[in-house]
Amino acid sequence: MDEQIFTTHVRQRLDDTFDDSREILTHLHRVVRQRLKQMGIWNLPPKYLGFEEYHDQSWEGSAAMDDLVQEAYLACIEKRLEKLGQHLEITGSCEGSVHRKLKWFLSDRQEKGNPIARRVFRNVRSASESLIEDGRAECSCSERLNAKSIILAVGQQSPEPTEVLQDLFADVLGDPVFLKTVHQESPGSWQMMATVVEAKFSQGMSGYKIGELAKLVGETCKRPGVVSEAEPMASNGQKSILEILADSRTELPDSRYQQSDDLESWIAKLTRHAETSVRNAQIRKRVLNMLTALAVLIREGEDIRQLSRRKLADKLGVSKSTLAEDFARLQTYDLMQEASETETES
Amino acid sequence: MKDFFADPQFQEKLRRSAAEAREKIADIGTVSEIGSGDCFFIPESDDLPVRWVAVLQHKDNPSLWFLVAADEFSQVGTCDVEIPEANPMAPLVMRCNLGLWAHQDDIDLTRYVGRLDAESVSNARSRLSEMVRGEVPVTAHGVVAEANDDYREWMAELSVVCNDIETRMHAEPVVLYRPVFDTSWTELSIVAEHRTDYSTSLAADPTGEMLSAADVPPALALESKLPGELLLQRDGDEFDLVYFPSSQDDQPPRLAKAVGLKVKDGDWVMGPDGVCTWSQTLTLVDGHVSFVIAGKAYDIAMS
Repeated sequence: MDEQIFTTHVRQRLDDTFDDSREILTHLHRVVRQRLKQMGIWNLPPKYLGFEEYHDQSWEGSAAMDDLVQEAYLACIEKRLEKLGQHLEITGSCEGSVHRKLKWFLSDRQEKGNPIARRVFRNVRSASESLIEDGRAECSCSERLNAKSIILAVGQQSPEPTEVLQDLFADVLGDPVFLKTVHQESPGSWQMMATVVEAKFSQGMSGYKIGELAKLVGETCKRPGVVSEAEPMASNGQKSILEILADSRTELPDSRYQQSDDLESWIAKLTRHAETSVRNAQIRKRVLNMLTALAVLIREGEDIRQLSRRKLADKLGVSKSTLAEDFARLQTYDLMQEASETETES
Repeated sequence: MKDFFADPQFQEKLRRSAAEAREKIADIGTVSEIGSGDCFFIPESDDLPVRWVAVLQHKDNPSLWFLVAADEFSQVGTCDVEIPEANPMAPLVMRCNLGLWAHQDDIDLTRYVGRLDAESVSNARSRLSEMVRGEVPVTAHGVVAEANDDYREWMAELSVVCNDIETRMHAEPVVLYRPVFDTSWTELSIVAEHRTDYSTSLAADPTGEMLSAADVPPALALESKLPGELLLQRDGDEFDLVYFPSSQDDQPPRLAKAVGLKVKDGDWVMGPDGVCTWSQTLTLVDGHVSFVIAGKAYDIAMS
């Protein structure tokens, strides 16, 4: 990496000698444009990165590029100035660090800009991978599956055209439960997709192109009303406590814990599990703290089903992923306990 | 091209944040020895936003530290530990399945970039234990992350970096202990051992007492032209000949003669770690341990 423009800029920022923005702005525009081209979205409207206000305009024909570059600067340099300064001081350069962060930033932006299509695509791809691994489908491609990969039923030669796929999947695309699940990020979602595809194979479907099937399902999910009905809290990026649980039990969607009385007894049960089953003292303490906090919130009349994972994580001083892991631990103990009770009864 | 730097309010904000960053960088300070949670840059990953966190000191050999990669990529896999948003080092995710044992001498203390809090380090150690026991909690976000192309690509890249670091660090023998008995007879004063036998599983148990230097068998490296390391280990008044082969194909040398022993009754015994020990113990005769091995005679006087 010959150019050291980001490094020079960070050095100037920390030395308080930054007074000419032309070079960094030009460089940032150039790097972001290159990256968008590499990602294959330079020719797509800015709405694919979440810039809905520019709708079908182009990157060059709108102010979207300016907005994106400013966001990129804030996320990749301004908010990381301390870390970049450390990097610069010790290694003499922070060029690679900024470039890598820009790549991640744009990927995140793409994820957030078109989340449903991205999630559906991944679920269709994971379902296809699973079917191939199990010998229930075939694919001639040797590399990782992508949108152009063709998945065939065993012994078949060519995929179905798009209009035939539409007919074949018409029943599931009209099924609210399918649509509710297929655009979510969970193992249950792609497993369900795999089951549906296998059923279609048995009904005579010869095969499909991953990109076409994902587009068909994704477009249906994005129709007005479908997503808002299916995932009421997705719009503000929040995720309820019960959805966290649902993440690890999507194959068993049940409503046992929908009432607040049930929630209290459920928390009491999980507390007993945690006290006896979590061996690691630090994890046990953290899990019990979490359950105590939930019990307090319920007593205070808060509907914890509406509490976001972020809010609870902030309240407990843990990361969102750690919170989800602790729930997963409790779910494991819960399921083991149930299995044990069932075994005892039988 | 819009120049957002021209906004006076933004300029003021930039000045303030630069001052804060300068202050925090100056506060990092230096370390004279490695402690739990210490973070370092390592040359192989200098062009990446990665730091290496010392999460565990080897319980048998305090010179060794288990380092895990930590970065700012937002996806969190099942073996990863994300630090809370409120933590001064956030955003940061420790990739616990991408770690390596490093000798303290191989970690450049001038590349220290701060210390991670004890709770986060403890979480990483717990995760290592869970990985070894097969008890890692499987979450939807973890599974989803691991199916993500960007995550897979990043982990693959980090894995290559990790291997590069290990290859460099393991290229030379590591100094373990200075012998605790008289070495006046030889210029060799250190004991060396190749570091290829350590595995991640050793990091699994964060409990347990550290052994002191006295608990480790004192030993001498014997000067030889052998490809591996030949050691004489002391156990009270008895001595063991130990050979660390340089590779799987490296055979231990022939012990031709040893005072006080019928060497034809003995043989090399290879342990599960690949290290060979002569089946008979060598004894002290008139204050000397004498033997001939690999065509070279050794007569070692013991105090």
